[in-house]
Amino acid sequence: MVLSTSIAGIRREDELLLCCATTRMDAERAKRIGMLLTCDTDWAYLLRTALRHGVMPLLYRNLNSTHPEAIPETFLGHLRDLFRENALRNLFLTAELYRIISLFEAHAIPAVPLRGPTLTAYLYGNLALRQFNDLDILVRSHDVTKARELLISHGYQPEFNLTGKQEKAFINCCVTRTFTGGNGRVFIELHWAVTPRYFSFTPDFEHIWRRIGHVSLSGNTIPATVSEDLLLLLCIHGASHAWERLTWICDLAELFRVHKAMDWRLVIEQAAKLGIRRMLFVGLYLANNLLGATLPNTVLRRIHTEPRVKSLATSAYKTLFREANDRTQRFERLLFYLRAMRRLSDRVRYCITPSSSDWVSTPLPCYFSYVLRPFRLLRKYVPVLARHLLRQ
Amino acid sequence: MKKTFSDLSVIVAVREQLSCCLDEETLILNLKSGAYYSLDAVGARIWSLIQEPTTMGEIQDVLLREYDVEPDSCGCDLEALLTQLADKGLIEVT
Repeated sequence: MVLSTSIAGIRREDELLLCCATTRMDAERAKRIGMLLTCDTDWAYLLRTALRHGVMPLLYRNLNSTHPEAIPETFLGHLRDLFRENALRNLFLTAELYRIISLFEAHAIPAVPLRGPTLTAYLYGNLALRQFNDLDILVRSHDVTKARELLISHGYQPEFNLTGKQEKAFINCCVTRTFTGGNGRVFIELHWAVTPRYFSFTPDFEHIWRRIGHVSLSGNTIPATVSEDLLLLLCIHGASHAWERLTWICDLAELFRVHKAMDWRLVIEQAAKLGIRRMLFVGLYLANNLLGATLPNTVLRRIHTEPRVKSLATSAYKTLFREANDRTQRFERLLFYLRAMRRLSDRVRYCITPSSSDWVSTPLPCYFSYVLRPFRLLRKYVPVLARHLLRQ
Repeated sequence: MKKTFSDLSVIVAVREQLSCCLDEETLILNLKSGAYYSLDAVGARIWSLIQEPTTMGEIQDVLLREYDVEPDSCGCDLEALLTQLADKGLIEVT
């Protein structure tokens, strides 16, 4: 079975997306797609949802390869055009990634691309099969200023400007900075840590760099995180967004497919050290339950004994295929993330550690931002919470 | 410049490009020039073969096996495509 009973009752179009969210179509899925296509399909909803979930390329690929005769020609043609446009954009962004990594290399800045093109090439084996919008690049914290200067000298603009003193404080408080370039077509997120500052333990660049792997892209190799680190990073990222996009769950399922020799002992040990074991298990549960990802029995047993995993997964199911407004989503995302943290200290730190968006609104000295952060969170979420309670 | 090929010519895609497969098409981006190119289904098959160094003769053998085509016509078409790819700086020929 592809689908779990816990999400029975979802729209046919949503189930179609779940069946298509794979690079390896099997007979069972293809048969189910055929059955789903015999009923009336809301094609506009299907496309809108596929784009929102970042799985439009897989939707096209799998509908076209299984039951093209059951799809209206205009819809399939439109999907084909979008698929091609996405492929062209991905090539463009990947070329830009090469340019930036080479630029950093030429200035002795070691850099590791996270997600985006390297993840697509590694997990999907084809740059056309995943949607990505920005380039995430990890550098050492002491290289951030130099990297920022290089990006600016090559046509990129930071999201906001900081004085030298503010930048120093920002690097200590936050872990990413966004830049825009290529006439507004390219977004770069420069990272200098792989987990947020409010985590009790944040692995630094050296931790990732010591165990770095490589991904081959059209005959070129590019640094990439090893599969075990990638799995943890994907689970932290997914949890921080309440797993609201199917593409993130699909990434996990594809990771288990391409890397069968996962060192599970290391993964679970690292997750426990980082305080993210629950986040890891929720990700694994979703990939297994929703997309049929294969996991070892020992790991499945561990997942079922971890408190709150099933209830968090149920929350994710509820929001996954609901077109909610942005404010409600943000609030639910916050609740999900806090519940997914195992350590109370991480939750407290989350509520007092300034985020990049806090800096956008008011770039203040670091200690002052810590004081203001809880008030900002209250201002942001109390009206949403009040509306939520009133509706109840 | 007109390239000449023999059965023993070794062809390989250059490293300064990126490509991806669509259904019956391959898109190629030349990283040096920034130009995009598109290959049809047969061109895409040839492109997949030359991701590793491959001789002209080996490519022709594969095409003759997989497609209903006469040897002479296959040789001419293959040479024409490889000449274009070489002119665009997308392959190396030794």
